Amino acid sequence: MKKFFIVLIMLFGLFALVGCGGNVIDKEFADLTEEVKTSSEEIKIKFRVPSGVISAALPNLIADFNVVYPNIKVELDAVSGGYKMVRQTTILDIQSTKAPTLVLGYPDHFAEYFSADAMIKLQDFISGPNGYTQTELDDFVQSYLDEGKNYDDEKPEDMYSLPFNKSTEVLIYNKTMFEAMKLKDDSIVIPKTWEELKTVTEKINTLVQAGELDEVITIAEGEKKPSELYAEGTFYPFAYDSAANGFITMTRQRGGGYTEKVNNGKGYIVFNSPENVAGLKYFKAENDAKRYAIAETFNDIYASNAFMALKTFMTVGSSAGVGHNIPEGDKFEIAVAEAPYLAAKPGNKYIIQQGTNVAILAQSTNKQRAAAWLLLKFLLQPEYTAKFAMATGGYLPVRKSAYETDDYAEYLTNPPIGKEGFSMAANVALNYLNKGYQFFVDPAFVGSSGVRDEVAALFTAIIVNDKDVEERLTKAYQTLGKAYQRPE
Amino acid sequence: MLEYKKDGWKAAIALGPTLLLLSVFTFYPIINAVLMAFKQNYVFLGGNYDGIGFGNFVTVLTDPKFLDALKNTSIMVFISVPLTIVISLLLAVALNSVKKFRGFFQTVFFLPYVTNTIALGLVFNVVFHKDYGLFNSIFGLNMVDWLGAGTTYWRAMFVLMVYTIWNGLAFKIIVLLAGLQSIDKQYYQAASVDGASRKRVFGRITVPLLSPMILYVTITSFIGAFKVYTSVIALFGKGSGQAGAYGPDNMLITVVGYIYEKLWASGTPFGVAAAASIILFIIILIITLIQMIVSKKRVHY
Repeated sequence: MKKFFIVLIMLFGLFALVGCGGNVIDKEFADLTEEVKTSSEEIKIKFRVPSGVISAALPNLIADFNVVYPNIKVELDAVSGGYKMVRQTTILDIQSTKAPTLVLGYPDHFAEYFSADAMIKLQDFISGPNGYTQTELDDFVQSYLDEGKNYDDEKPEDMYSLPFNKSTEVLIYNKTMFEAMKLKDDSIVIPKTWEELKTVTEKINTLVQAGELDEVITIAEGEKKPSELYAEGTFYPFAYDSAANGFITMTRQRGGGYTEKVNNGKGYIVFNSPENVAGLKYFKAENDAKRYAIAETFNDIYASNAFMALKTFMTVGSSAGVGHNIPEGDKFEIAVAEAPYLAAKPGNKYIIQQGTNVAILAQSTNKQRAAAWLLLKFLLQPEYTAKFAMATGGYLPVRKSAYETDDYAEYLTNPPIGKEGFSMAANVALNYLNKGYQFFVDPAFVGSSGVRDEVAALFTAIIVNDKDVEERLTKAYQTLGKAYQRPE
Repeated sequence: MLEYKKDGWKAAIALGPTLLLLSVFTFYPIINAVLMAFKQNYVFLGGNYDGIGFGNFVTVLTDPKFLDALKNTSIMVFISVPLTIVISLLLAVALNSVKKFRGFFQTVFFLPYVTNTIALGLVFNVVFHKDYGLFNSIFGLNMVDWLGAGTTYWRAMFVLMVYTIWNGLAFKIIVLLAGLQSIDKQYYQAASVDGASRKRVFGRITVPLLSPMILYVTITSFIGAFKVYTSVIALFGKGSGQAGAYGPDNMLITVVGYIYEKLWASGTPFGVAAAASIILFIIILIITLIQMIVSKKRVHY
C-alpha cells in the first residue's frame, strides 16, 4: 500500500512537471514578474538571435537592462547562418528539451513551435500586473502587433509574439542620375505609382540609349557606360530585389489573392487568379521592354551590385539593406523614396512588412518566463526600440512614439556619418505610416514559407526564364500539392 | 585464427566498439527512418502523425518536384557514369603505357579528387561565366548564360555533366590503373608473340582481366551518382536563404536534394523525406542487383 502511494505521488509529480510545458498554462507565472523584479535570486535566461547586426546591437541594451535588473542574467545565443539556422537549431533544441527562453523568428517559425506546444501565450503577461495598458498597445504599429495573433484558433486575439526587428521595402534611387535626367527632361520624376514608373522608365531608356547620361557619373576603368550596358541588353532602369516580395506585393496591390489561412496548421493558396495573371503578364511585358528587372535578371540575389554598376537606376529593396546600395567613394549619391503602388487601385497602397518577432518558449521555468517578459518589456520601450533601430541601422522602431524620442528625431533629420541611407529609409517608413500606406504581411501557417519559396521561383521563371504565365501558375499549384488547395 | 566457442569474448571485445558506434549512428537512424516513412504525415517537431500507412510514399510519388528530381538524377546517372567509366578506362590504359611523367600525370588527374567541391564549383562558375567565362571566349560564344538565372535546362545539365565526369575521373583512373598494373605481363607477351593487334589485346586481355575492377567502379559510381547533391549546390547554390539552390526554378534538383529540402521544409515533414530516402534506397538496390546479375556472366575473377 505504501509503495502504491509512493508511485501515485511520483506520477502526480510527473504530470505536474509535464503540465508546465505547453501553450495552455495557468496565469500564475505572469504574476511572478513582481517577485522576479524585486528578488535577489539569480535567474538565467537564453535569448537566441541570428548573429550579425542584431547580436552586435543587443549587448549594450542588455547591459542597460542589467542596471535595472541585476539578478537576471541574459545569455545572448547568436546563431550563424541567419534565420534559417535559428529555426533549425530551435526545432532540434525543442525536440531535445533544451530550447532557449526567448527566440526571434518569422510568424511561420512560430506557427511550427506553436503546433508542438512549445510557445507560451504572451497575452497573460500583456494583461498581467506588469503588462501593457491599452494606450501602450495602441502605440505599437498595429500591423506589426497583428503578426503575434491568430495562433490559437479558439482565441485568435491572444498574442503569442511581439514585434522586435521590423523593416519594410523602399525605393532606392540614383540621386545623381535623377538630377541630371531632370535637367534634360523635367518630366522625369521619382515615380510614385507603377503607371508613372512605366512612363519614366521609357524616358530613361531613351536617354540612356542615346548616350546622353554616359558622362554624368565617372566610371572606373573596366566598367561600362550606361549606353554600352543598354546596347548589350543588361540595362534596366528599375529592378526589384526580392522576387517573392515582388510577387506577393503585386497580389495585394491588385487584389488578386495569395494565401488564405485556415488555422495554425493549414492554409490554402489562392494566387491563380485573373488579377494576378494580368499582373504577371504586365511585369513580363515590362521586362521584355527592358524597363523592369528583378535581381536574378542580373544573375544576382540582390540588385545592389547592378545598381552600383549603373545597370539600373532604381531598386525596390529592404530598408535594412539600403547600406548595400551605397557605392564606395563619391561615385554617386543615393536617395530613398516610397515604393510604387497601383494608381488604378489607390485604396491598395500596400507595402510589405518584413523582419522578425520575439516569443518566449515553453521549456522554461515560470521565473525564467517572467524574467524573459521583463527583458522584452524593457527592450520594447520607445527609447530602446529606437536605440535598437539606430544601432542596427536598417531596422525600424516598433512603436510610433519611438519616432518622436529626441535621439531618433535627431537620427531622422541629422543622421551620423555612415547612417544616412538608413535614416532616409526610416523617414520613408514614417511617411508610410502617415501618408495612407498600409503595411501588410500575409498570415502565416505551418507551410506558408514553402508557398513563399514557390512564388519566388515562379516569378523568377516568368520574368527571367520566359516561362508561360498560365503554365507556370498551374505548375506551382501542382508542386505545392493538394494539401495547399481548398477542396472543391 | 579465432574460434567462436573458445574466443567468442575476444571477438565481442574487438567488435563491440564498432558495433556500438554503428548502432548509434547507422542502425538506429536507418530503423528510425523506416518507421518515420510509414507514419503518415509525420512531422519532426512535436512528433505527430496520423496512423501507419503508405501515405508518405504516395505523397512523394505524386509530387512533381520528386519526379523532376528523379528525372534529373537518372539523366545524371545513366549518361555521366558510363561516360566517366569509358573515359577513365581509356586514360588509365594511356597512363599505363606512358613511362615518363607517369607520376606527374597521375597527380594531375587525381587533383580534382582532393580539391574541395565548393572551390571547384567556384572555378566552374568562372569558367562558364556569362560575361567573362573562359568557355564562352574559347568557343566564341556571345554571352551565353550557362549557370546563371538565364540558363536553359540542357545548358545547365551540360555543365553539370562536364563537372561530374571530370570530377569523377580521378578515383576511377587510380583504381583502374592499379588493376592494369596487376595484370600479368605474360599475357601481353604471349599476345605479342601471336601478333595480336592492339585493339584485340585491349578487348581480349585488358578488359576481361580488368573486369572485377570495372565492376567495382561501376557499382560504386552508380551508387555515388544516385546520391548526387553537392555538385549541384557547388555549381548553382547562391548562399543561404535564397530560393533556387538547384539552378533557376530549382530545375536541377536531385533526389537527395529533394530529401534534404523536405527535412527542413516548413512543418518539418520528416516522414515524406524518409519515404523519399527509402524509395532512393530501393532504386539503388535494384540497379545494383541488376549489375550483380549481369556481372556473373561478364566478370572474370
